Amino acid sequence: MSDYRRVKMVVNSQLVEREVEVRRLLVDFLREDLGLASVHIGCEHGVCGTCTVLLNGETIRSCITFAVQADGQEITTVEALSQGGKLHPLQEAFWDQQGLQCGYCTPAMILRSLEILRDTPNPTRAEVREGIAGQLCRCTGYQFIVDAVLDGAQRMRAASAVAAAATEAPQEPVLVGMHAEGTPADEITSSGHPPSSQPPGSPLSKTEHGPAPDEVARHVAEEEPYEDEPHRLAGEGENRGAITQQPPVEEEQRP
Amino acid sequence: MKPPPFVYHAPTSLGEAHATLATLGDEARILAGGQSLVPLMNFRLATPAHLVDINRINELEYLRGENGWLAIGARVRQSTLERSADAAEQCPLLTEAVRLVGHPTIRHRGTVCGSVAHADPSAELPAALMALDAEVVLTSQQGERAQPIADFLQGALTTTIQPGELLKEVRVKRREGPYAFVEYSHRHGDYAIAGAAVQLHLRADSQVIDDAAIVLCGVSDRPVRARKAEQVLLGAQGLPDERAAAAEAAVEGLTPNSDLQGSAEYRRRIARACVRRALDQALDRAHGGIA
Repeated sequence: MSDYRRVKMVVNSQLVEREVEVRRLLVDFLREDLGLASVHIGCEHGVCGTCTVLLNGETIRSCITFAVQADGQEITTVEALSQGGKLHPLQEAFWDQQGLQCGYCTPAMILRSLEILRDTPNPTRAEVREGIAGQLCRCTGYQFIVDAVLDGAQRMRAASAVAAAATEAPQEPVLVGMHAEGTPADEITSSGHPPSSQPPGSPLSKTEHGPAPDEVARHVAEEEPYEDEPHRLAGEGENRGAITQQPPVEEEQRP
Repeated sequence: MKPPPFVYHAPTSLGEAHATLATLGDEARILAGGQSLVPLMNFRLATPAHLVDINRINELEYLRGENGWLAIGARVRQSTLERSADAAEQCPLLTEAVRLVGHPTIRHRGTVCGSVAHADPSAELPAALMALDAEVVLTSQQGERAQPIADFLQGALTTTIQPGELLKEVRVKRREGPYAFVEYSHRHGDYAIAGAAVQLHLRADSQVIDDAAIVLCGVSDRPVRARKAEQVLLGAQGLPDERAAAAEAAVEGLTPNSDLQGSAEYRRRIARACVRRALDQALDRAHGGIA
């Protein structure tokens, strides 16, 4: 006996409306149905943390959450972090510090790290270690990941300071560390790596978006967006969200 | 694995939930945070025919301190309790215990009442709540009943909840005095091998212990109140040898399970150490340093 529900949610600032089987796990909905390939499936019982996404700005484990439970809520995945073809400062830090090996835990690690830095913008090494204790990495031994988070914290603080100094006007909330609009790009990007050192669409690509947002865009385009409704259903306000829409990117970048 | 098929219900009021639960009887399981239930479903160790999701019931979202009680509604997340100023002020033992539940990401979804209803023997919140003499409130179409948590917990994953009932609230009386929750687990965020919740009260004039509650988790099929240890401390100053005697008394006669995580004797020793450390923390904190 299968039970289905129609769900409507905001995923990376885009309204998504779908029919889902009620036993569909959120991780499968995001990854398989919406094509958000950053959302990885690890242990599938809430232990490894690899499926972490943001629900209304807070980390949750999408493998032990049903998609139907996200109805009316806002989901953010790591695909939403880069802006205008530029990686988020924390992503830059992961690149520069080699905060990964195979990369499987990385999207979840970055989302959880952003949450840590939102709550504790200037953490100690011990705080970072404890903060990421729920995210398993089987490659790195965590040392470079902790280096990356601490480096990212510094970059994000610098970006916030620059943004605050650059404009008199009220600032966009700097999320979860999103660069505020108008932040001089030089201030938030200090990587010396040439963008071409990674293939387009790879998780570390600085110049191209990965395929996933296009997938969502394509999916969403098929649905009729609810123009009247604000793209924020729940958990708005506070220092969360502030995720702007990705610019459209040509299709068929998927290798 | 993927969870087996089920029928999903998402009532938006307590009345609607009661009606749904009354119709479904023992075929229904309640879905709140899902942090314990959904893993069990993914493993197909739990195969409920119907899930009643209470996340849309706004009236279950309350965490309030009034008239000397702290009342925690069924939709209150563990992270909400963790951040609650009311809880920290009225029952700081709970605040200390909830920080040890899983990881922050788990606590964003997991609920306080869900942890109690799940009744895992090594869970922190049931033990801490037992040390605080908490009451659970169960509701159904037939009405409402309150029960001490010590009676509600009947064994591993077993409670007195009846088909058609919903655990609507956990409530705790305001407590003052030295407290601590100490546990040991192999990895941060794992279920504890064993743990101890301690809530004491000192006479204002003499600093003599005039009330003591010590509860262990992870050593039996449910949290265990260590009455003998409490007796050792009543009327005492809480000096180091008294603490050691209480810790010894707390594990006397306990027969914990042996499993992959450790033998029965290992668990007993861990539990004893947890009680001793919890007493040290509680009393040292109260005396502003080493007693």
